[in-house]
Amino acid sequence: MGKFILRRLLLLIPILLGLTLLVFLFIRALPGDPAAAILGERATPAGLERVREALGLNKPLHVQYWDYLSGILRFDLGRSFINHRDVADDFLQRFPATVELTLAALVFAIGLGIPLGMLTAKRRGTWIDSLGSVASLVGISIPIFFLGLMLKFIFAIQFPILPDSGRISLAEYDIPRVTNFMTIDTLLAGEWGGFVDALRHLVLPGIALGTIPLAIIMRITRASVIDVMNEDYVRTANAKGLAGRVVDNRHVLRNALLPVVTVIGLQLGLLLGGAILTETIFTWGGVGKWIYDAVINNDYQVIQSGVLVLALIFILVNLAVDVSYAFLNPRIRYS
Amino acid sequence: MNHRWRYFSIAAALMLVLAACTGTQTSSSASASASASGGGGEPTDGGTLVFGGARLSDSLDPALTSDGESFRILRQVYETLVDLAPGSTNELVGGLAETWEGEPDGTVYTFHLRAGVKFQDGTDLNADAVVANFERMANFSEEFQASAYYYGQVIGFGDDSVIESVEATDDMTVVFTLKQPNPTFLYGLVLPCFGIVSPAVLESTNADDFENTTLTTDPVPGGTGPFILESYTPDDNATLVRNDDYWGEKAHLDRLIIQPIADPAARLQALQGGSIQGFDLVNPSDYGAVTDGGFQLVERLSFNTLYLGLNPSARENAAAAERTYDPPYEGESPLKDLRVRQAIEKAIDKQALIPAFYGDRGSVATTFLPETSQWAESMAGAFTPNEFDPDGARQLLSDAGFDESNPATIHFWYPTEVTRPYMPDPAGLHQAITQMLEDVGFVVVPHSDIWDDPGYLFDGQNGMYDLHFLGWTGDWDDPGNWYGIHFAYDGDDPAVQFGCAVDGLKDALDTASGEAETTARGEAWAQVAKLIHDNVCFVTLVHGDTALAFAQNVHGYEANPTGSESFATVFMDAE
Amino acid sequence: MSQTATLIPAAHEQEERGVGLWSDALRRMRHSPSAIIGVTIIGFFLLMAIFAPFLAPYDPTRGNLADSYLPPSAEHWFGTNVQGQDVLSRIIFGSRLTMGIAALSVIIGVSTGAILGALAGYFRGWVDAVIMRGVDIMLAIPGLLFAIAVVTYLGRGVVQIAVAIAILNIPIFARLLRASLLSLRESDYVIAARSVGVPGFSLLVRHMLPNAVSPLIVQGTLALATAVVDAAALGFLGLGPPDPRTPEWGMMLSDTYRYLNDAAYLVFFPGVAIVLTVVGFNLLGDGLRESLDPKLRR
Repeated sequence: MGKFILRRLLLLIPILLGLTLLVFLFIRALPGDPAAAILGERATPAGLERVREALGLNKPLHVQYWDYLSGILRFDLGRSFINHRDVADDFLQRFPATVELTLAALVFAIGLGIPLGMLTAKRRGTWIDSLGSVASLVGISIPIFFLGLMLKFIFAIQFPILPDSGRISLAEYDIPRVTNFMTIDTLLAGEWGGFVDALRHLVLPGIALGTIPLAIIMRITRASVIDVMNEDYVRTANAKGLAGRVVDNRHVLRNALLPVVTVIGLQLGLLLGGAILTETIFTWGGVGKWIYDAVINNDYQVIQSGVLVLALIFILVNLAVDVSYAFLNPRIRYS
Repeated sequence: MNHRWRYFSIAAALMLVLAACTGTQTSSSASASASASGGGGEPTDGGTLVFGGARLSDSLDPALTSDGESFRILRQVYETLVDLAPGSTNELVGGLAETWEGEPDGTVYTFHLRAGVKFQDGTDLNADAVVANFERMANFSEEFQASAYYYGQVIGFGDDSVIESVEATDDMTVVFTLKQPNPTFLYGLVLPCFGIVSPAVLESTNADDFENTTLTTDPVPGGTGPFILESYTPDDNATLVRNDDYWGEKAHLDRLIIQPIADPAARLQALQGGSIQGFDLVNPSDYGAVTDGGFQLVERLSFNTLYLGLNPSARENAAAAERTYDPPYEGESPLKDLRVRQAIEKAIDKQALIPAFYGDRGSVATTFLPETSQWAESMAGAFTPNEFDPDGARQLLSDAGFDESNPATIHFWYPTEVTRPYMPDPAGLHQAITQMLEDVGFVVVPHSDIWDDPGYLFDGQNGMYDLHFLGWTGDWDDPGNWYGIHFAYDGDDPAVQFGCAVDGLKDALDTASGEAETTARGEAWAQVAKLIHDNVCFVTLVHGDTALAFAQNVHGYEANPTGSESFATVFMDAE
Repeated sequence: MSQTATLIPAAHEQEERGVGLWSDALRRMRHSPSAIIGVTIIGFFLLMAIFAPFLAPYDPTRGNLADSYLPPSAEHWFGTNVQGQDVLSRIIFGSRLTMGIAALSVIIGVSTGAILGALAGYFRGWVDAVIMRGVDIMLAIPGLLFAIAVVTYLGRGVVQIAVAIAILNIPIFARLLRASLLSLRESDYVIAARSVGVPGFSLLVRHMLPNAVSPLIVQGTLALATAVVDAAALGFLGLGPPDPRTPEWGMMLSDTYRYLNDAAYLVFFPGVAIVLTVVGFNLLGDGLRESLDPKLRR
C-alpha cells in the first residue's frame, strides 16, 4: 500500500512538469497581451513596451519558464500583473470559499443522492423509480449556468426567500476572516445568526453546483444497490430471515458504496471546474471566478500558478479516492 | 525607446504655445445639475451602507490606480490637494490645500495646506509629506510606472516630466514649478490617484519596494479622508469605517462596505433582496425596475461618448503590420470616398439606439464633448451634423459608384468581454448598427476580439479596422482631453487610429492646444471639431448617462459626471 | 490462412457477428423506452435544423429596434429580444449550430482519441507511457478552462468551438479504447489468434478494434450531450461565434441574462431548448448502452 502511494506520488513529478510546460507555453501562445490588459483603452505602443519590460515579458521564453519554475520550487507563485497581489495569498484567501461551496454541493448531492438511489432501487419498476429516473436524467442534462439563472430567478427575484449573491449579509454581520471558511469564521466570532446566514448563502449556489453530481450519485447508487441485492450473499441473508434494515446496512449498503465512492471522487474534480460558472453567476469570491478573470485579463502569473495548484489538488483527490477504494475493498491489492 | 506617447506630444504642444498667453481660465460649473439621492431632512449619524460596485480596487496604493472602481474606494480614504465641487466637472475647490495661487499661463503653483489635518495614523499633514508623495511618484521604478498611468499622463516620468521642482517653502506651503505653462495641470491633480499618503505609512509598508510593498494589498490608516479602510478581502468586500478625527465635516455613516458584483442585473437583484442598499451602473434596461420597485434612481449625467471610428487606410495598415483576419480584407477600402463615410453617418439612426440600449437616458452625440462639458455648446455650433437620412445615404452610395452588384463592403469590429458606461452592450449595438448599414446597401462583415487583447484595443488604436467601436470618458473638462488626445498628429502624420488626413487639421490642432483664453480656446477647438466632422473621420454616436440606485432610506449621495463621488455626505434613516 | 480461419473467427465472420450485434441492438432499442424518447427528441431537433428556413416564421438575424422586448404573443410565440428579432426563429436556426457543433466535435474527438488509445493499447511501453501521461495532464486541468483557453487561442468560430470541445473529449476516448484493448488482449480469441501467428497489426485492426467499438459509440452519444452543454457554456461566457447575430443558444442566454429581471422569457426558451437536446442525447446514449451491453442481453 505504502509502495503504491509512493509510486503514484513519484508519477506526479513528470505530470506536474508537463503541466507547467503546457500551461506556460499555452498562455503565451494566446493572442492576448497582459500589458494591453493593464493599460486598457489608454494603451499606446510606448506604454505597452514599457509595461512589457517591467513585467519581464521581453525576456527569452526559456528564461521566463525558468523564473516560473524556480519560483514554484521556492513556493513563490509570484504576483498578479493586474493588481500586484501575491498569488499564493490570494489563492489561500479564495480557496476556502471554493471548498466551502464544493462541500455544500457534495453534501447536497450525497445527502440526497444516496437515499434517493436506494429508494429507487428498492422500489424498482414502480412510479417512484420512473419519477426518479426522469428527475436524474433532467438533473444530468441541465447546464449549470441555466440552472443557476433559473434558481436565482425563482428564489431570489420572484419569491425572494434566499440570498442570491455573496457569502454573508455584509450589512448585518461583521465577521473577522480567520479561516476564510465563512461557516467556521461565524462560529469563531460567536455569531449564530451569522452562521445561519452563511448557510443560507450556500443554498442556491450549492444546489446549482450539486445537481449534476446528485443525479449521477443517485443513478450509480441505484445501479449498484440493484447489483448487490442480486448477489448470492444478500439473497442468503434475506432467506435467513434477517430483518430488512440489518440486511440493508450490513450487507447491501457497504458493498454498494464502493462504486459510489469512486464517482464522488471523480465528481469532486469536476466540481472545481463547475465552480467557474457557479461562482460567476452567484458572485462567489472563489478560485473559479479568479482564474476565469485571469484568463480574460491575461494575468499570466495567476493563470499559470492557479491552474497548477488546481490540477495538483485534482490529482491528489484522485489519489485519495484510489486509496480509500483500496481500504473499502480488500479484494483490490495494489502492488 | 524613443516613442513618444501621443499624450505627451499634446502636452508639449500645449506648453510651447501657451507661453505667451494671458488670462485665467474661469471655472464655470457644468450647466446641467447632477442628481442626488434626495430628501431625508436633517442628516442622522450611524448605520452601515453596503454598496455594490462592479469590482473592488485593483490596488490599494492610490498612485497605482487609474479606474473608476478603484477610485470609488480610495478617494474616500485619500485626499488630493484640490478637488472638484460636488456635481461639477470643472469647478475647483480646496482639498488638502485650503487655497492656492497659480495662473494657467504661469509655471508656478503655490498650495497653502489646511492647518490641523492629521493622517489616520496620527501623524500631521505638512508640506514635507506632500513633497514626499510627489517625489515618490517621480522616482517610481519601471514596475510601478507600468501601473501609475495618470502620473505618466498628467506629469510624466523622467525627462518627460512637466515638473521642474516640488518644494516645501515653509511647513504648510508647497510650491510646484513647471517647466512650461500647463493649463490643465490643476485638473489633473484632482484625480484620486494623486491622493496624499502618510509618509510614515509609505515607509512602514515598504511602498517603494515592488517585491515587498504591502501598501498595494493591506488596508492601512494612511490617508486623511473621511473614511478609514478597515479591511479588504479581494472579490469579497472592502470595509471602511468613519474617521472620527476627520478635519472637515465628519462622515455620517458608521461603516461603508463595498461589495463587488460584476453583473449589473445581479446588483439590482441584491438591492431587491436587501443585501445591499445601493449600487452603481444600473443596467439601462432596469431603470424602470428600479423606480417601480420603490428605489431611488440617481442619474449621473454623461461625461462620455461612444463613437464609431472610420479608417480609410485600415487595410493598408493591417497589411503593413502583417495582420490577417478571418474573413480577410479584400480590395480597396470604400471608406476612401468621403461620400461613403457620409453615407455611414446618414445611415445610422442614433436616436433609436437610446431607448434600446441606454434605457432612454442617454443623448445623441452631435459632437465628441458631452453636454455636461462647458465647451459642448461652442463645439456644436461649429458645423452641421449629417442627420439620419437613409435615402440620402443610398443616394451617396450610388453617387460613389456602389450598387447591388458592386456593394460597398466594410469590416466592422466590436469588442467582447467588456462593458463601459458609454457601451453597455457592444454586441447588441454592433448588431443594430450593422442592420442600419445593410438597410442602405452596405455589406457588413462582422469581426470581434477581446477588449484588452491587442487584437481590439491595440489593432483598433493602430488603425487596422475599417469600422470600430470605441469611446472615451473624460479625465477632465477640456477639449484637448477629447479631440486633442484622439486626433493629435504624430509629426506630419495624422493620428493612426483614424487616418484622418484633412488639410489644415494639424495647424488647427496646434492653434487650439496653445490657446489659453477661454473664448478663443473654444473657437479654436470648434474649428478642429468642424474639420473632423466635415470629413467624417469618426461618427460620434451616443453620450451614455449612467445611474445609481439606492434604497429609500439612503440620502445625500451626489453624483458627478466624472464619477468621482464622496460617501461622506451620505446618511441613512435611523431604523 | 485457411488454417487460421478455422481456428478463430475471420474478419468477415467478425463483420457478420457485427451485423448481428447491430441488428440485435436495433431490435432491442425498439423496446427501450429511453431509446425511443431519445430518438424522438433528437429527430425533432434534427428535422428542425434541416428544415429551419421553412419552419422559422422570421429571419433570425433581422430585427427592428422598435420591436424590442415584445413579450410572447401570437405574432412572436417566444417574444422578441432587444434587437426586435424573433426568439422562436432564432431557436429554430440555432438548432443547426448546436447539432453541427456537437456532431463535429464528437467526430474529431472520437477519431483522434481512438487513434491515440489504439496506439497506447497496442504498442504499450514508452508510447503508452507518453500518451497516457499526456492524457493525465489534460484531465488534470478543469475542462471548461481548457476549452476557454483553446477557443481564445484558435479564435472564435463554429469550427474552433467544435475543436475545443473535441480536445476535451480526446483523453476520455483514448482511455476508453486503451482499456478495452487491454482487456481484449487477454481474451481467449485474441490469445488464440496471436498463438497461430496472426500479425500484430491485423490482429488490432481486424479482431480487436471491431470488438472495442461499442463502448466508443455509447460514450460518443453521451459526449454529444456534453458537447451541447459545453458549446452553450462557451457561448454563455462570451466565446461563441464572432457574428453577434448568430443564433447560438448559449449566446442567446448570455446576451439576454442581463434582462432576467424584466424579460425572463429571453433566458427561458433557449435554456429549455438546450436542456431538451441534452436530455435527448442522454436518453439515446442510455438506450444504446442497454442495447449494446452483452451483460444486459436477455
